[in-house]
Amino acid sequence: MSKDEAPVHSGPVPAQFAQRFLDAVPQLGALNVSFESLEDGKAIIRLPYDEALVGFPETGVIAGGAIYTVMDSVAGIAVFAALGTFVPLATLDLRIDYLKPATPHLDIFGEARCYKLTRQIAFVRGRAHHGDSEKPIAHVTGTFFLERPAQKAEGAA
Amino acid sequence: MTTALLNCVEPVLRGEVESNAITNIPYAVFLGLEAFRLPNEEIAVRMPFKDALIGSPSPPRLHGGTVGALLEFAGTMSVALAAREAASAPLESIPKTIGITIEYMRGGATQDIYASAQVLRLGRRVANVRATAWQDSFEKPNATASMHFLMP
Repeated sequence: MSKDEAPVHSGPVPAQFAQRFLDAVPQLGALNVSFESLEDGKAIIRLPYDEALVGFPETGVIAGGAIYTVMDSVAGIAVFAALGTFVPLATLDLRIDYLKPATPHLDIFGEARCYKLTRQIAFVRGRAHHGDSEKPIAHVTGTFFLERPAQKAEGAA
Repeated sequence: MTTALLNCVEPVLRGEVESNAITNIPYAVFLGLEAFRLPNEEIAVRMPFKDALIGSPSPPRLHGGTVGALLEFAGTMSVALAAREAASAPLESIPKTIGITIEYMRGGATQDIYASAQVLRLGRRVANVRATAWQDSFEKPNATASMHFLMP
């Protein structure tokens, strides 16, 4: 393993830290997002159905933007889980594919896993669903920048 | 129902008001979005700052998700406007987003943020759109988005 590739591991960021992280984010409070689980590097959070988040008034379907926000956040938690610590993160890019409309009145679960971690960059994949991850509503891939000192390579100028 | 989406935009389009809150889509109300007219007459979307939009407490920054939602909204609005212009009739429903890729360049400061979008191609089935979100200057974007919509 090269020096700039930290191993992807999970566990050291316990669930109560993930909940504390969620509690500290005003937007997630506004969305009533709650922590669901963090196991084997897979983070899951829950967005309760709320009429206030409807993006398609004629059908009652939740706006994609609310799902997108949940996925950005759960991706961050997955990175903290992989790192084993909290490091300021900046989203470099995040892509979301809306696979099918969310079903009105059902809660939405956002789950994500950090599948690759380097010194400065974390790569994450995730999906949103109504409880069965094999029936996803949306799929995301994201890249995050880790705000920590770059490791100096030996002999580097 | 794009009529609903565009109703709030109409007075801005007609130049009667500088900006107008988007009141008929609950999630737009949740974010506090307003349609407004840029100096070049283009219609854009403003998300006035409020604490509930914050995504990282220290230092406080706008949640990237809300910036993404703003970009998507600007995109949806631009497609609805372009489709109405092209067909001289409103779309029957709001165009559905197939996918959106957002690139973040600057963290969102605790102040108002704006987004405008350009329809690169308005097809019968699919529309391709680019959008930009900015705060102090359009030349210093916070984020840009590339998205495609399924036409109703």
